[in-house]
Amino acid sequence: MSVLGGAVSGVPPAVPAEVDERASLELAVERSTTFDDLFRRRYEPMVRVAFLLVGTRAEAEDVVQDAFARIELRWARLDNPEGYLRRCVVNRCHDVLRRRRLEQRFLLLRRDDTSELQADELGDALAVLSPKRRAAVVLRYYDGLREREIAEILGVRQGTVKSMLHRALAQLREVIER
Amino acid sequence: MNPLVLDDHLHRLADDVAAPPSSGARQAIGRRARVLRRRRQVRNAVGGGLVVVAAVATGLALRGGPAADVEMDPAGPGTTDTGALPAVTLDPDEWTVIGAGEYPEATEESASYELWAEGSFQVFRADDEPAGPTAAVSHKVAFDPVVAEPLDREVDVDGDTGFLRQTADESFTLRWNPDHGDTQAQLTSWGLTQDQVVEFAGGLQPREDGISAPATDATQLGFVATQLPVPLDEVLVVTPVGQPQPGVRQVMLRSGKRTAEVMIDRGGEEAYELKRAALLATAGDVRVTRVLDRLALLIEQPDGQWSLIWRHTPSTMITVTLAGVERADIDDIAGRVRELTTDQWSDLVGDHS
Repeated sequence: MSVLGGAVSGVPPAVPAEVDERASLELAVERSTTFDDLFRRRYEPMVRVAFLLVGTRAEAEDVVQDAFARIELRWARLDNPEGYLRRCVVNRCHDVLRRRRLEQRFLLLRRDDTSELQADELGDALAVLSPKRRAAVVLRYYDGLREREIAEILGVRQGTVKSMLHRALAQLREVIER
Repeated sequence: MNPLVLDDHLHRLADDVAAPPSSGARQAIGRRARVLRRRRQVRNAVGGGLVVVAAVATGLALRGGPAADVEMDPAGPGTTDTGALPAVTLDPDEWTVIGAGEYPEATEESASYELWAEGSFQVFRADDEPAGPTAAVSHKVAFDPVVAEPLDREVDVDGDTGFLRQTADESFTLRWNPDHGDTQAQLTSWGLTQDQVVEFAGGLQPREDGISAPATDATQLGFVATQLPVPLDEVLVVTPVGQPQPGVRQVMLRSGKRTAEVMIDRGGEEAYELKRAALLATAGDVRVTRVLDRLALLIEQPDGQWSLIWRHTPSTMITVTLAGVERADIDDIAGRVRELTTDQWSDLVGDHS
């Protein structure tokens, strides 16, 4: 099945203005949760995000468990545990991809052949994106984050996220149409 | 690509992944957190700059001998340790600093090495051969059986099924469940053949048989090596402790098309061995050299980069990653590493952060 839609804009959908208010509310709610609440609520969704980033379920769970362990240790000092969780997961996924890339260069593999996502043409296309672009796409279009939030997680400016998403979409389209 | 279609498709790819927040997952997180907490407590237990030997002691001597038989400190750190992070850069006549800074915590990359050693971590290396054959073995309690990953080959590890992968010309990774217990072992090697790796792993006798998850304080992880395809000694792992100081200092430099990243990390023998094992897992050529009167390893990476790594003091290590350089130039570059005073470092950060 083709994942190409009708109009190809390459521009992320606009984010409504009331999101900042919603973000403040979410943060206030989050401060009153416990670690186990966060674990029950966010464990599976974060494994799915990590799965889209690293492409294997086992490594995705490993990354997310690692992130939760670090959060448990810092729990009392975290203002925004969920934001920290996302940042840890994305950073650890980058470590996994970096290690895998080094191994694959040795094995002269052209692209990420370890991914369980390959059965799908979008999975194939995601695998050729750089780790940061891949993270930007997954956080925006799967996790539904705003560009500002993605910028914080990836440690880049908001304008950079916009341009990363634009280029990633163009690259995905190119790979899928090839 | 239409973003709405992309959104829908990503959900179809990922929403089938079932990973409920089970008690098994919660326990695994708790175990990892305990390991991290223990490491932090050890680091903070003694005042600035002191070094204690936290021996990975039981079963230290492969040949049943005392600790004195064990290889100490193969890369020769300096003897002074003030507790503060050192600062180094490359000769300013040739290299231009393009960024410098310091950060309160270890990098995620360093942290991932730390987790690699969740459970026990042992290193076996040929005596007096810092660049010689090496096997790094981690052993942890885990409910899950080891499963094959893409590119793995199935091998027999003394009756247990192991999964072996070649990660570089002379590097292998082998994972298995020793003695059918609730544990997982991972061996990464450099300079050993595939047969030697499997033989060595087959001779690793767990210090405790039939370990059940979850682990207790009395659980004894780790191995005693009984089969040595080449002469290997267990390296005594020395863990430095001290007051928390800035965790990482980093300098980025450029010289024409050549770039260098200097990473100064807090971390003693264990952190050094973990990082070194990670670099060796994808290594090409490996040589011994000297930097600032200390022994250093020069490790070729498959992406054309070179890593120069050494223990600068008992509680700090330095890695210089070089890109765009010729092999023939590296000894010269190693000779251009310069140590900075505290004031010089402050000025450098002030100018480039």
